Amino acid sequence: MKNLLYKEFMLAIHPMVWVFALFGLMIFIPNYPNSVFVIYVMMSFIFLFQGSRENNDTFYSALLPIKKRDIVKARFLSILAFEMLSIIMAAVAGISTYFMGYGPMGKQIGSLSNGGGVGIPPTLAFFGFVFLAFAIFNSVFLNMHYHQKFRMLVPMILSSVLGYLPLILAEIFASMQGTPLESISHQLDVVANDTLVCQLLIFLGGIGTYVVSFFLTYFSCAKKFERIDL
Amino acid sequence: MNSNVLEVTNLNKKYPSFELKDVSFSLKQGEIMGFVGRNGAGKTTTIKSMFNIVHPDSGTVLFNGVPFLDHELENKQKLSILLGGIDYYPKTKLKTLSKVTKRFYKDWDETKYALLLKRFSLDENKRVQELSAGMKVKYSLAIALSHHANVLVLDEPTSGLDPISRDELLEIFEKLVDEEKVSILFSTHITSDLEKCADTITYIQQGKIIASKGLKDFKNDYLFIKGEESDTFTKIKDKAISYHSRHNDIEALFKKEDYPSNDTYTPYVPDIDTIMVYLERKNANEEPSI
Repeated sequence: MKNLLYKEFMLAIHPMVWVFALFGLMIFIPNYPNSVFVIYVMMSFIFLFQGSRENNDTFYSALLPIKKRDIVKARFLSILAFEMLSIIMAAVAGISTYFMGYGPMGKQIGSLSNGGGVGIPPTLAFFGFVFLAFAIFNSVFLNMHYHQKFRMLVPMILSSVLGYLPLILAEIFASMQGTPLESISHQLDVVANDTLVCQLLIFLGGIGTYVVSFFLTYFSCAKKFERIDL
Repeated sequence: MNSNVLEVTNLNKKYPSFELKDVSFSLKQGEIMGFVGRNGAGKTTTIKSMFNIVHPDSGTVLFNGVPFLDHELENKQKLSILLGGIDYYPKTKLKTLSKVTKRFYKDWDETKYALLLKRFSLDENKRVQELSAGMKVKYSLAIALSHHANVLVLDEPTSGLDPISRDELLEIFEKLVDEEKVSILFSTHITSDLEKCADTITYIQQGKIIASKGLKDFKNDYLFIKGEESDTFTKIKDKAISYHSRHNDIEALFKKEDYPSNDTYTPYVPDIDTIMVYLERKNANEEPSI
């Protein structure tokens, strides 16, 4: 697996995948929806899969002395690595804005209201939705890609749209101040003792969904890949 | 010299519009086998089915005496497959590609690799797309020999090469077999290549092996006549595998045992090209006319 991951990083992974993973740092940008980086990360995988197809990576890999399912495993681990990298970048940016006073803390003290920003701030709940978004994206895109003989465009569009839905909902609910749904908004975008449990539940729910769907998708795709005639 | 490194028995694979039917043949150590057939006859499908790139419906493949599938990873350490030239990672430098590839092989020999690069005049700083078709095959051979593969399976390695490059490559094949004791199975539809270096011929037609034997034996199974049309030809033409007649000139291929002796024509042993053309012509004759 070590060698296959080396192959992924030396040959298969397009530089743009690295660039888009760093877009987690976009949370530093004031007045900009924090969830947008997720869509960039999702779309960046088109570079990875399109590049692999153009470079005949599947054939190159299939001729090596490795198990066929390990080819899928290496690709899944690469995706995992970049999704996690983007989340770490976003977390670093989110925590930094907290200390800089224009992130969630700003909203809590009622001075800046998310730094004057829009949508959901980088709270624990936000990251729960990010995990959920990636979970949906991975399940839809990877299952469609491997089960439909490496189709790319339709799976990418469909999975990105469906994957981004939870974040759109989060953005909407987080912007309900002054409406009857203000309590939901409060739970999602304020860092305080009374919101901690709700946010922790969303965060853990997001991670749990991500992990479970990741394994289920891997087993399904690996099984399919082993049966495909190349 | 006589042990089989590759033994394919009753390989079957069915597609909606094509079928491999009971493909069986064997490759001996130190042998060059030409795997021949027209385009679409099933050469690539056979190679892919042998090595689990596509999944055969049935059949067994023994590789160095052990079932290929049961010991796939160990077997692939000793196997090199080249499917239609290296067309992967065209923009990557050879040195990067080699750096990645070598990590997968337990017996990688760096010294040998360096020697082979020199011998084949390969510049590691070149990108794959900058190599000529012949150089790409040489690079694949360098990789194969550096991980001590003893069976090289090359699908159409000489296609697209000029006659000089083809000749050079065939000479390399001969040297590899003599010096490195490797065995080579190479598929081709350029039959003149086989005349130059093949020890054995395996002929596939519409997914079925119709002959697998020594080059001379294969050719000696057939007789060819050429001449003016005559009453004799009218009498014997039904015995021919196929024939061509135009403006009173005739050409016909016979199975040796079916050739009716006569004084009009002087039969001779044809070259593989002629055999292939007339075998396939027969096949075309069997199809309904347009």
